[in-house]
Amino acid sequence: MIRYILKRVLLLLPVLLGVSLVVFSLLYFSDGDPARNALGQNASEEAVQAQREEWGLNDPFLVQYGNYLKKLVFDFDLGDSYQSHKPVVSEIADAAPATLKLALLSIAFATILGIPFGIISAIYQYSIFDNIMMILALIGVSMPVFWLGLLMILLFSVRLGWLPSSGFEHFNQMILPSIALGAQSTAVITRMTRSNMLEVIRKDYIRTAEAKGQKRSVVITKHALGNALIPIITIIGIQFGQLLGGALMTEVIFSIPGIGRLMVNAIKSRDNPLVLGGVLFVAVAFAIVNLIIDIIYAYIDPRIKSQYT
Amino acid sequence: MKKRIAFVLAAIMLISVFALPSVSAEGRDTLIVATAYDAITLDPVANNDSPSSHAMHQMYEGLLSLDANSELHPLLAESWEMPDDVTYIFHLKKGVKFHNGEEMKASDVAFSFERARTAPAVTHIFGGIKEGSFETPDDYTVKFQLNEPNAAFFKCLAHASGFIVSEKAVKEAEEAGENFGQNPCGTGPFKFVSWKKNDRMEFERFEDYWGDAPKYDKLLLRVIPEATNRTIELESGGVDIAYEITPQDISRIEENDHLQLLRTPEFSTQYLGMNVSKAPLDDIRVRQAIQLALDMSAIDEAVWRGVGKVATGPYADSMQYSLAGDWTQPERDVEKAKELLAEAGYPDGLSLTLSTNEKTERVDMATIIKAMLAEAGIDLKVEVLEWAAYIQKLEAGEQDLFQIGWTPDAPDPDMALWPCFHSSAMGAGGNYVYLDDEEIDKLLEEGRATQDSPEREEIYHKIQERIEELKPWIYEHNGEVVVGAQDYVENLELSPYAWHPIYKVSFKDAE
Repeated sequence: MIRYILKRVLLLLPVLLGVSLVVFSLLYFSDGDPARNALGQNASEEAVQAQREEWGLNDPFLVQYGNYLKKLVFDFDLGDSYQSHKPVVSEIADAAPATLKLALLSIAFATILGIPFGIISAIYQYSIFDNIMMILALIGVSMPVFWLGLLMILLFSVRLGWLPSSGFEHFNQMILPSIALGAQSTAVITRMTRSNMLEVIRKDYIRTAEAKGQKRSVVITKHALGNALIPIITIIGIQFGQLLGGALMTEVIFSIPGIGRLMVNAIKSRDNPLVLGGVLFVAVAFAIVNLIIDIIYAYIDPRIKSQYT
Repeated sequence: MKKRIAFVLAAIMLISVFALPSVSAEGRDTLIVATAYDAITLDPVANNDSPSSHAMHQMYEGLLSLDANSELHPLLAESWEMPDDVTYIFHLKKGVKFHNGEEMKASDVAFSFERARTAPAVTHIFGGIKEGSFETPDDYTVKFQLNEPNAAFFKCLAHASGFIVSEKAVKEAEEAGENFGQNPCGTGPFKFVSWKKNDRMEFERFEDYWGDAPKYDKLLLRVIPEATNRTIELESGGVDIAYEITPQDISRIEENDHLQLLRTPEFSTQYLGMNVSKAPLDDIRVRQAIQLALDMSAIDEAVWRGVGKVATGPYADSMQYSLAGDWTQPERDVEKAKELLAEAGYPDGLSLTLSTNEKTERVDMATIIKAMLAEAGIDLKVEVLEWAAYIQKLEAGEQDLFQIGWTPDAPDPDMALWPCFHSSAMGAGGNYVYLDDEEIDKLLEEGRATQDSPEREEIYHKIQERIEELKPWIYEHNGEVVVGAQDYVENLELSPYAWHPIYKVSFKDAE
């Protein structure tokens, strides 16, 4: 197992190299001058040129990219933000906790509701509950988060005055954004659970278990759910990875200082080191989530575990 | 058992929702302000953006200050002399302490201005100080010279880039490898406590402040980017003051008995610029035709819905020597526009591109402009660019028509006109219409070198008339600052630059 994890971590290196190359090229070839943006509209042309020189922006592409990699690999340094002049690492470290909390709460909300809803829908297929659930899931998948978020603010903050509409310090400030952001994942997980459960409960071994006189609850939770869980876990992992990339809309509507807003501001102001650092962070986070999901597979499915050698 | 644990956990979660204090529960010893954008830095010379300036105005001071009517007042300087056109001598207030406990001395002033003189982001404001001209005959006197006479310079001393920093604090930050912009130290009524980017900035009252002590202990600037949400936070009592109220939220605040709405004209001017260095816009008749084909007042009303007003001159009428108050937008005359185009050699109309950045109001205006120009036979292509790419395009001179705004850094006509119309500012300097007119250049140079007087007034009247004659701009809009506040907020003065001195605020029931 440890060998497997090591192998996966090593495999991450070429992925990160590829990601950084793509992003670096995009930034290099996009319009807009980082030095002009950092110094402002009024800075003299000479000052802007001097700044470009200092940041090495006049060097050829490969030299710039090489210097970036050299600093990253040997000094473990992502550089300083062009705008705030703070190290990129500390900028990301400041924004990451809010994003992580938001992602965890949303995915927890989605999982806790989505899996039971999916199971019940599958067991009572075509019942009223199932139909209502599927309609709600359809609405959940189609409802854009900025719309749902605003509606929730209007109801819970303005009308009822129960919860604050902005900020991200206290738990009561996290409820609305987590639900707004998690709604879509809830819908996806519900549908995924339902379809997988439907497939599994028709299998022969389920009939066998029932024929042997197993209690229905045991059949459902142990025999059926265990076998239906792999694709569900996969989809939870993908959803969670996406949330880690920052949920820009949710962050803007609820004034959450997360990775999404940090990155968009960085892109707008051509803060190249921050953009690169942010993308690499998201890539690493996504890879780690995938790795954790793969490890969870092994614990759920002994067949997969036997392959990890 | 598991069920029971789950139930207990759920119950704890539910209780904690209501048990935790909400932000609005804080007492009236704190002022909470909702801003739309976060500051970039708290180092006076590192950037020249409005959110940073606003935050710095609460914790730093300059030699002079500007009030809401653009009148200058002594602040850290007690008095001053100008023995000649380029020499400035300031006598400083004694006993002024920095937030680190050091006393402010003449050396700090010289140090601060030397930083501003060489900092790229603000050289257009302080770059005119003569190198090596600083003298500090005693601890409370500072003397320096400008390279050339500049009547606007005096007003720039109230700008954030001229704020006095503690030399010791700057050097300590440098030695520690820290950024002064994250560890700022000034002489203002509030001192910096903490800053969580894109979220909040916290200040506390500076107990050794030399002037009138603020009426409250803590100042909290919260970044709430979504406009509707700023209004909602105001309505629900989460914040005391909310900036940048949008036109659609104004009536909600006006109709609410617990809230007040404050407004003041900005110094900004938005314009439709025409690149006069490029055919066909180098022909004055084409520029006149475009203006006649547009009904700017109608466009302004449709897009801004009563916030601010349609512009009638190259700079706001609330500023010195402006003729905008006497001028009006011309009547729309599509037939005359077509005639002018025919005269200029375009009887069948012509195709042009209008570049703009993605700011909603600008895109909306561009859409209406396109429709109006179509009636005069001008086929307009609207090109929406993201800010960085947009500025690059303007600096390269590739544009036909474009929309942008200009806010002078100090309330002086020189700061309003020189960057936009002097030939030396073509491209990167801000003259995006690429105007190169000898008469305007000469007059601008004269105006800069002449101290405020009837002669100076005449010079700037001539400049404005000449600009109107050449018509490189079609004036679009003068902005307005719109702020919402709780009814218990008093002494909230609005600045036309949005650098509101909120350290002066007091609470009604606290008295």
